[in-house]
Amino acid sequence: MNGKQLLFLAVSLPIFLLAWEVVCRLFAVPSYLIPSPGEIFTATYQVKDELFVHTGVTFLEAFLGFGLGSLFGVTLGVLCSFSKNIETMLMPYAIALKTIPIVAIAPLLTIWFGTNFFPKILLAALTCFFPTLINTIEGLKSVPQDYIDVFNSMASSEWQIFRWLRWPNALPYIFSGLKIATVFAVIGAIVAEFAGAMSGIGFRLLIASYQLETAVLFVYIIASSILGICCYGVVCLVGRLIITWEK
Amino acid sequence: MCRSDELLFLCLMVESMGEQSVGDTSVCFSGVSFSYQTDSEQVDVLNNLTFSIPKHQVCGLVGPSGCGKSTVLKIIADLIPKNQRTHMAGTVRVFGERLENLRNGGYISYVPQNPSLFPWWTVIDNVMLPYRIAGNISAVGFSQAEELLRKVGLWEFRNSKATELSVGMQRRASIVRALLYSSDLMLLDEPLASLDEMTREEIGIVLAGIQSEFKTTTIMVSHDLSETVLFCDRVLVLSPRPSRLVVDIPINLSRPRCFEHRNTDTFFLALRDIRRALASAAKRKGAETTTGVQ
Repeated sequence: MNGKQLLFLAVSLPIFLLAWEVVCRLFAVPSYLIPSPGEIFTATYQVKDELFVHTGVTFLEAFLGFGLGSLFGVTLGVLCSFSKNIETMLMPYAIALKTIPIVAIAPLLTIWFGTNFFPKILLAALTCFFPTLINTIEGLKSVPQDYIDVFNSMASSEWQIFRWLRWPNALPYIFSGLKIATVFAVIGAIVAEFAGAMSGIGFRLLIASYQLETAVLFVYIIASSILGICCYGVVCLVGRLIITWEK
Repeated sequence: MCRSDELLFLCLMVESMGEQSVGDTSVCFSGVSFSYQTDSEQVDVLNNLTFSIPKHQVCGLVGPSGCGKSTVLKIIADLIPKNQRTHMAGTVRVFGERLENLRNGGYISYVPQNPSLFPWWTVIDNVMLPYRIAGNISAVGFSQAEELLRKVGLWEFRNSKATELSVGMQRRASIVRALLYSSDLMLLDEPLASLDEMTREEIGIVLAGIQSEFKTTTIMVSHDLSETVLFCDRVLVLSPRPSRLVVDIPINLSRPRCFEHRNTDTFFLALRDIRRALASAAKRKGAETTTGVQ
């Protein structure tokens, strides 16, 4: 985020919140429908202790799922780049897996593995897997022919071409995939919590909706959004530190 | 083309195809034909191409777009994939050896049309690529790289990322990288393409310097006829696809070459001969096509 964007946010956000507050008070909007920003702040203060716990749980699930899914995505992407046969065999399954809505898989995983951490991590990993896989394959394949010719003209090995050419060329693509994957991981973890959990943002959202605690719902929606933005920001930062040649 | 012009080209061809011993020859094409298969048709690129280039000579390859000039370079550099879609006939010898025996020999350096510096590396990392691939990054290699980078005025930029250099500087760095791999035979694919006049002259000076210092046998593909005449000892004019040798024109300009050579009669005559040969080949191709259609 650059200075201009920060300035815009610093000016527009208070105006938006103020307008929201004024509309809620002026038209006496019931708080179970749309709570005012003030009520949301009060609710945040009231649930602050559990907020960190639930957000922490979701973060851990999303983080581990992201790690697992990305690792598999990148590894299989590398294997696909080396062998057309592996790609031909793997891609139909990968596409089929991606086309199944995660809300349909979540209850199945809960039936199979229970309400513990594992199904959440697994669902987060499944959502991360596809964008990482596709971008890794794309990045490893999209090396300009002239670059390959330079290596081949110097009698390099396939491993050298991979290590010094295909891999660095693929890094910007992989990080693009990881940026998408990190947001998907948070969504995947929350969806999995909806299907059965004892803690986490998804679990708390479900409870708040049953009890019509709309202000608490808003608190956790905002928390999930902030969590997604932070994860995305960290991946962007790591990407910038590694891919120093791209402006 | 009039009869006397055709005779002139024939004479020039015979004159330049004087007998050379294998030991003096760096590249020899004997009846080389090359074609590849697309999904819908077979494309004949080269047709019975025969020529030989002596050591230390700078040879230009000119011809219409798509006639297979770059393919000739890629055949010499062994960059054509050998599969069911490509077919090559004839013999290519480099320094007297059949091409397949020269693999991994480190005799041929190739500079593609795009400078192809890797953006994730600095200039020095890029030019040290031949040593990196050979697993031989040593102080000797580094000092050779330093010497060449100083010669082309890039030593101060050794720690810059490749993307921070101008196109001309990138071209110079890619030539240095190729020279560090081999200064025996250098293949240049359009070294002056898409450059402004100042940068073309800058690269031209680098190429002339390399030739006078290393006596590198150079084969240069170019669309720019003036620059080709200026830097080459000899120009091979290729016909439209399927490409064959139309005429082999020696350039009798003294060395070292400089931009003042552009004002000499020899330069203008050579340029005229090349243009006539290209026009004649295009006309003949047009006539063949018309006959074929009829």
